[in-house]
Amino acid sequence: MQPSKVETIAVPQIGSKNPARLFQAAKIPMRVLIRNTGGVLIFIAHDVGDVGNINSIGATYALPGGASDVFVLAPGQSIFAAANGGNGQAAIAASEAVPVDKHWMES
Amino acid sequence: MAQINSSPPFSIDEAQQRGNDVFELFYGNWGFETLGVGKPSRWPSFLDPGVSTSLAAVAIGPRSLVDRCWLTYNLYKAGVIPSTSLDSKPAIPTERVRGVSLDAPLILSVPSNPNVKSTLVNPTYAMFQMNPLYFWSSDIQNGDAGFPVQNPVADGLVNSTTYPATYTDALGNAQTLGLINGFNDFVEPFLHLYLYLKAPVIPPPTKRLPLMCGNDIVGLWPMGTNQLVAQIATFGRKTMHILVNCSSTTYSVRIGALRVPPSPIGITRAAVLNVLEEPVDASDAAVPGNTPVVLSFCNEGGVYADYINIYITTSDNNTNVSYRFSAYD
Repeated sequence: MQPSKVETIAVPQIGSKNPARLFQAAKIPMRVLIRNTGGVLIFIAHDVGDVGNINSIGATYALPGGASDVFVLAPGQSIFAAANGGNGQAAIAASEAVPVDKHWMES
Repeated sequence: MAQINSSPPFSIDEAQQRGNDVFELFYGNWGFETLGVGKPSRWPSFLDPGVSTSLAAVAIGPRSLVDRCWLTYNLYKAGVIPSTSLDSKPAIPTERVRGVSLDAPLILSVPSNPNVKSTLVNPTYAMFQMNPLYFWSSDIQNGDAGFPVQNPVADGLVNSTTYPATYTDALGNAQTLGLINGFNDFVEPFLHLYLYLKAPVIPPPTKRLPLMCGNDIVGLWPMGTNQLVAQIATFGRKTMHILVNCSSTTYSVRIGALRVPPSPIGITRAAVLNVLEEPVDASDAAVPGNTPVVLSFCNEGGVYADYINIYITTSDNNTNVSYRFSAYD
């Protein structure tokens, strides 16, 4: 079982070399709640290359300031973020997507 | 000039790291030219990169005595350096510098461009070339040498609170703005901004705190004509009330108002236009000593001046002078 996690993460502006990796699932699906705690929109994507260019945001999910949404990650999948401006910020709460313990599923 | 909340140092980045909703900027003597004729105040200073943290909104704070300012931000689109030829007017298709006033807070996200520095004193060019997030006391083309570009929107408008060092009073005399001579008061143009670090949960204020000031000068007031008692930053105040009293055998009171002049556009205008003081109100010519004079000129006149000057003329030397001033939005 992958432990739950909460974290507040600085989100660099879009186009920077290193977008923020908000979370990565290990061997099981993970649910990640992402809250935009910064002042500007943040762009969210599963592929780091999708948040690398302000003029190419078609493969991103836009999360306005103050908003929250839940994402589910496949095993091994990551989720990245870049902000529409310097020093964006996001808070995450990650935990197992669904109880997948064999005995629980069969009960 | 002072960014007052720099001591003790508390940066906007620290405010964001601590989860604050708002960073409050306090800046004294905002809009006094400090680097040459017509050059605006700027925060961060001309020595520093722009603000690193993006903002969700910007509003004038309740302690502010200045009621408007301008900002440049990250457009994610840099321009090319314009030609230095006087005849060429490289295209800046639109004016993108944003203004904030007391009645018009900026409820739009303001992207920053961290670690980017501009030494330009012209907000349009600073934004056009560099995209840094700066706050300015002017949105006027201030004559950066080598950038003779007309601003299609600002041309002829007075988008500024940048004041030159001197003004011409209503009697035709050259005066120094903000001069402290030991007898008079100067209430400086103080900027207080709410910089929203998150989506606004605190409504931007649309009124400021009342402005109250006054002084008693006992036994020292020099006999003379039109001696300045107080010069008060009253940007946008709607209601003002003044009380003056003097122990001289007779005395008179005169009120003048200052409004910001148009700054030069491009380098085709030689200098900032003079600030000319408006005569606003005056007491009767000779008021008996120790008789208070009350003036509420702005209730009806709608002066809305940037500065109010209070002058007094006395018949005797070394007298007592008192004044009280109150203003409301």
